[in-house]
Amino acid sequence: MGGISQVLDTALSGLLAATEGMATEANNTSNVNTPGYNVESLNQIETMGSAAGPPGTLGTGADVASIQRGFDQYIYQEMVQADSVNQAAQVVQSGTSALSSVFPLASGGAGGLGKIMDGLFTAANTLAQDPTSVPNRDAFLSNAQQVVSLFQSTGSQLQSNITTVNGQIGGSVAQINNLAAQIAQINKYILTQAGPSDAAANSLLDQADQLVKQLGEQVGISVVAGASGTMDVYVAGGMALVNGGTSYSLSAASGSYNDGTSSIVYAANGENLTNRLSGGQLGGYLSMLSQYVSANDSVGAIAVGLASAVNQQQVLGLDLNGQLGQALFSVPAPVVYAATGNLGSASVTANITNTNAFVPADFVLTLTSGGYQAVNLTSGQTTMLGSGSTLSLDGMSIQVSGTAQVGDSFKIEPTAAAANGISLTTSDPSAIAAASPYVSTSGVITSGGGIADDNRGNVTMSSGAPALSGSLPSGTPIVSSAYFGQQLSVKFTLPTTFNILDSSANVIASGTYGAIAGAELAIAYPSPPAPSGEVTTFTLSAGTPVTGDSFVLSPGGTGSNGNMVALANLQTANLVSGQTLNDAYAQLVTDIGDRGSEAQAVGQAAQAVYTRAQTTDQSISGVNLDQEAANLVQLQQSYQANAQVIGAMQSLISTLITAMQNG
Amino acid sequence: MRISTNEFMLGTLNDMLAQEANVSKLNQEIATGQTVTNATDNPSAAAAVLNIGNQIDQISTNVQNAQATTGTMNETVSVLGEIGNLLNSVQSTALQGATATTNSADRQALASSVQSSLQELVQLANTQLPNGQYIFGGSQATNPPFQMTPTGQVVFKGDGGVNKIEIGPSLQVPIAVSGQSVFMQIADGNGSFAVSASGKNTGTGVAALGGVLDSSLVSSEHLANTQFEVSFSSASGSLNYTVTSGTGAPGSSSFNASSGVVSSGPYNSATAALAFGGMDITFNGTPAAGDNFIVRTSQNTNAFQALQDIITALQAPVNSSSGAQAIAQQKIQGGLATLNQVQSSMLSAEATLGTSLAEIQAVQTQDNAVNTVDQVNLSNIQSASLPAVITQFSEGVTALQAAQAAFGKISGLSLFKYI
Repeated sequence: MGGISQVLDTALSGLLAATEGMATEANNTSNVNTPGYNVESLNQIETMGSAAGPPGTLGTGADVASIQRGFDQYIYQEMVQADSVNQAAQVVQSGTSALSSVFPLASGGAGGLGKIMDGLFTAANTLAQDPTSVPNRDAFLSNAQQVVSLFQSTGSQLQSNITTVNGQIGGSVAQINNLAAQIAQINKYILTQAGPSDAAANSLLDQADQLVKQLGEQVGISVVAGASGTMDVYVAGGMALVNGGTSYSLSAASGSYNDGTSSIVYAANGENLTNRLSGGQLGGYLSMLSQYVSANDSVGAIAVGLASAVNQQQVLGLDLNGQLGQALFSVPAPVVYAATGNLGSASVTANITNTNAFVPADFVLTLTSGGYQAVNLTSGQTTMLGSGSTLSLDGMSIQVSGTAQVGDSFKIEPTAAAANGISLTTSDPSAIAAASPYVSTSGVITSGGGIADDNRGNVTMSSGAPALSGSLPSGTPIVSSAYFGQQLSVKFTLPTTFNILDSSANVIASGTYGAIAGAELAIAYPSPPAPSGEVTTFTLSAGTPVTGDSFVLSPGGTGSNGNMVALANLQTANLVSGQTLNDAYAQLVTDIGDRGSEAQAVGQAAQAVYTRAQTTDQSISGVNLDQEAANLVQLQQSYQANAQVIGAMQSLISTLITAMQNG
Repeated sequence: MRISTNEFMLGTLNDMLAQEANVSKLNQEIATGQTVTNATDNPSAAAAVLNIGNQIDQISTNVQNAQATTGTMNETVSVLGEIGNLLNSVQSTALQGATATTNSADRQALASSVQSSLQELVQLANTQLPNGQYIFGGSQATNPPFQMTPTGQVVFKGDGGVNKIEIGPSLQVPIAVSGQSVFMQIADGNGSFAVSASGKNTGTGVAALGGVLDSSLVSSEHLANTQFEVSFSSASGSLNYTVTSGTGAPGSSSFNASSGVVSSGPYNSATAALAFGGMDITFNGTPAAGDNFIVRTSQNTNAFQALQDIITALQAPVNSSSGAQAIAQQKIQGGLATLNQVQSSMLSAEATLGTSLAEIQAVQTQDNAVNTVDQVNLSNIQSASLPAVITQFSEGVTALQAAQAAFGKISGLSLFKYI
């Protein structure tokens, strides 16, 4: 039997429990804004009565068995996952939005690459209207400079994006390592300080959970609960970041090709995890890195397509000084990185020989026992190239010098440096090759230097397009390039045969003529600068020639616009992966837009999922001040009630004492 | 469901942020007047914007080309017109010289008039465009294409390189006409044959070329450079004619009458016509026995030479003998015939240009129509519909204000106020 003192003890325990409750409320309200804080509540139990007492013995008051966290492991995990996915989605969403703003669309794409390239071709057409005009030539060059500048600024913007995102990847990896170490530290603390069955302090658990959430924000993880509330964390489907008290680090290395793009390596065994990581900011950064690289490659491919087509056209015409034109643009050659572990002495160079067959991508070239193997890093496609010192791949020609050993590999970035590195080679307006290499006139050169036409037949001669000598009908007479630039003449020696004569009337070629088929003839360009085998062609029309009928082939004068018209026509020619410049550009912008709009949708969905998961989690773990206020009122009343009991006991005792004094 | 206080605040805040983003985007659309300014806004519209933008550029370039070409062509047509007028005046001058009554002094005066026309013709043929290019010079832009030698010959220093320009997809038109074909490729005589009289003729007969009767025969004669010699002889008081054909200069030792006599017989002075070699000639006046005429297939001459020939014919002194009169007549008639060919050449060049101009006009009309459609399409895709956007903007602002008002109320809710 406890008696009065037991009542006092019981009331006191209630008083203490209420005080402890109020302390909990105070902790809750003070942590209302603390990230990672989980609302705490009293686990209050009734104190057992004496075992020796009669059945139905009274309890002896209240006791605080524990302070519980409002926490649900599964809901929290779900929220961490949603957060991780959302972080990646937000990075990609803002990244793609920034990427697409590099390619402006306002007012029909004004100021964008498409419009600026159109401007170059408009200037080419204006120049074709009057090839002698120096202002027209200046305007063409200044348009070319604008094209170059825009390619450069686009390229350098994309490359600075690449640099920035590489830095962000490094930062993210550092943070991952830091967080993993902190979690391991807490695990270790839990394991050493607390016994296996003991519950760890709430604040420690809150901290560990918060670290896990932060880690999930950096990279997609899976968490496995260990003993006593410790946590093991894994990335990339099973690579441990935290295992009990040990953490393992990742590193952002420059990759085995030292090519300036980050690879994520598992430090413990050197395994490359780059393609296996997803989620979190790191996952977003890695995704943006490949998008920036791909956009830069594609812009580069357009630059290469434009530059090589214009350059090829330039060397097929005559400039204002009557000389064959020179390349107008200079574009950096494909960049090749040798793997740092290569054993052989081989070095590799590459150049793009056919921009139409080339599809922008980076490649890894590896020597296998079955010859060279190329892997397209965009499509993943593997191509066997055989062996030898010259390999051909997707419109590229690859030269291998030295000796490679099996396993040696090279990374080829064909157009990565093109956009940023394109430049104009001349500022001389007369260097623009607007004139046709040769024009034909019927007749013979007279002693006065003029051309007199005494042809009696009805055969006419017209100039054709430049072609490769191999594509001409067999038997076509081709004048050697040694005579290129001379005034030549063609003379029928019979109605079925003709000679081609140099300026000193020496026969330098001859051909046969058919009344129905006519005849072709060609003059070889000097190579270089022209491609080997390139010729300019002329056609003798079908008809009836008379022996002695003649034609003069003279270099195009300064007023000739033939080559400039051909250059202007490049606007509608397929130059980039079988597409026109504008189509290739539109496709690039559309692809970026597609990815961006997808990223927006994904970003919104991920945000919604995360918000819902967070709301669910907060409904369990969050602090609600109204609830705290209500609890406080309740605890206050409980405290007052217990105090009243003590007060009542006091009056009982004093009644008793008074009675005894009186008695 | 239990909602944490933070969540309560944060949710309202997120709502406001979303409203603000929406209002800001709508505000941007109103400010720029454009809905698609970024490919992520609408990727398929992005492709359309770029493709239409590209087409508009191409069309405006084509229109620009067409306008420039039209300018050059109109200039050329007007020069050809001036040349036509000049040739007409030469023609009437030469016709004056052709009348038998004109005396030598008069003919000299006429000759010097034609001489100055020749100078003028050279100048017109060397007409430059405002940019300094010679209209008829081909690709040779630096020197005048037609240069007169000290001997009065005009040589062509241009070339056959006629510039073309693109006025539509794969549609190139020549900007100019070749000076060589306009001025330097003139078939003399009537275009098929030319006739001349022997300087020793005594009769009054002046041969006039008729028409081509057998064109395939004539064209083979043309290729073979066939010549005919028509000679008259007297036989028992009547006049006989003999036509022999061959190559080489008739009457000279190099003449080779390979085909021998083509036709012969008594000359019918009533019809005064002879037909041979797929063509016919008629005589004005009467040839005399011993007279010779040479009919040869046309050769290339040039417009300047045609005038020079008329000058030479007019300058030749003519005595009063009827034979000499007829010979002079024959020369002037020959010059007039060739002049006619020159005039045809100008007309045909004008016709060619006219066809091209009509084509350019048609293409330009079409280009303008396509351009209008493109502009409308672009605006449909890209331009903001302001009434709609402004309505959405107002709605957005109202919603934002409501969210702010709600936040104001919510933030005041706390049980702690009441205890």
